[in-house]
Amino acid sequence: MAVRKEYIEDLEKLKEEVLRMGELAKESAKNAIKALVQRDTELASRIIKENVTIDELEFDIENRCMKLLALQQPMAVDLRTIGTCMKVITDFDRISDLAGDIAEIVIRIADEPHVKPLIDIPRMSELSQGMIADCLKAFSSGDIKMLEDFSERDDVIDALFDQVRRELMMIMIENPRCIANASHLLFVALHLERIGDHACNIASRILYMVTGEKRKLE
Amino acid sequence: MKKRKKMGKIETRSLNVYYGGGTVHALKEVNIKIEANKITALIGPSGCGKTTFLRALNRMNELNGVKTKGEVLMDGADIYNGKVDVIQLRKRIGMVFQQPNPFPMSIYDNVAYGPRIHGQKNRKLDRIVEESLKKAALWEEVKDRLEESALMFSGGQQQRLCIARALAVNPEVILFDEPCSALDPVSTARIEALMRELKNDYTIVIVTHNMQQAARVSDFTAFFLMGELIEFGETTQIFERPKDKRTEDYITGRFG
Repeated sequence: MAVRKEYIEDLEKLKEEVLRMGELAKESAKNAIKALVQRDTELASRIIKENVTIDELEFDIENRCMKLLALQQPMAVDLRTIGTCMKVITDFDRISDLAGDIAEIVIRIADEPHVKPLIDIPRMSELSQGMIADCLKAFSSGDIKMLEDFSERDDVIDALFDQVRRELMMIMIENPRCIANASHLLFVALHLERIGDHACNIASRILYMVTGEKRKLE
Repeated sequence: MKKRKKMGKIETRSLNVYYGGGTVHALKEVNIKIEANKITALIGPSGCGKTTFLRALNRMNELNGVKTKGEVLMDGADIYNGKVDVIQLRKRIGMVFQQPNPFPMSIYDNVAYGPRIHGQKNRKLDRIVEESLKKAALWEEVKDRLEESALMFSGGQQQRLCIARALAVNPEVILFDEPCSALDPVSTARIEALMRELKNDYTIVIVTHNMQQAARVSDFTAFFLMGELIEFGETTQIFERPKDKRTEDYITGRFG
């Protein structure tokens, strides 16, 4: 018979809630780019509304963590799990905020066609979503192999951002009338680059949760 | 009592303890180095050998016909060497027990008891009693009541009196066997603060069932299970990232 049954159930529930929050943040980020590509303002509005749910989830998870810390005196892997949960929910929250910012841009620029075909931006989005998905898998399974190449994957996103930035600058130089649209797209690319950084933060925390060693991925 | 130099490091080599006429192998091949001027906590479930280990450090086990093999080195010298005077040894290694056990006599006489046995003359006793009570953080509460019976005081005060009594013979090491298990949280916090003070001058080894207490007060933690030393390391390491699965199972409460 397992002792501390309720405690272990509470920890499992905590992890489930963090996974749910991560899943929601990932979906928001994915839908934000979908809305951008399709200039879908309805989808964009929905993302902004869903941000509230994610914010509430963050509070709820934080409360669960505080309660476990206050009442159960967690140790070892349990302590690391709770510490990790408290840290990664901030990153998930930021990811959903950035998705919300992208959604707001979509609403502002949806009337006009984009100044260029969107290829690298969706690519950045796919890469960052893949990283978040791997974080969620690693968090739930404890298998950290899929986090090992995060620095390289983040480098690819950074390189794409540079490429998008140069391209948009050229467009703005050539045609100043495009500056409004192009500068919005530049912010979208920057937000995606930041989402990649948050995925790296989350991965570092999961490595700590599983191994007990603190290692910075960037 | 002047500041002493760092003494009181203990090392055990292949320490084995048997009791019940050799039928119970209570400690198995324990090798550990306990640093001077640090607090080392011994944790583990009931019957794991932690108290047996503590009692092996000042040859208390011998009182119960227990057989001990291996070495316990105190500052390099084996305390189980036949030439060691056990009375002198226990002067160097004091002990505080689970239940406060003051003698049924006055506060003063409790503290003066040890020094008197060791031949201390009366004129120095006043100073020893005062300094020991001050070190045990009890002086302010009892300085005007030194002639009152120790049994009139609270459990927490009695336990600090027992610590003062241990300090009075000027030991190098103090062994604590569950010193707070009979005390309320405030008295516990006082004893813990006191231990942290005392480690500047003494080496402290504490057996505790309270893992939070081990985590709060100790510098090093040793985890025992079924007579074996499973893991020994810095307290932060043991409680944040234990290496052995059995340590992890115990401290996270998934044991059994």
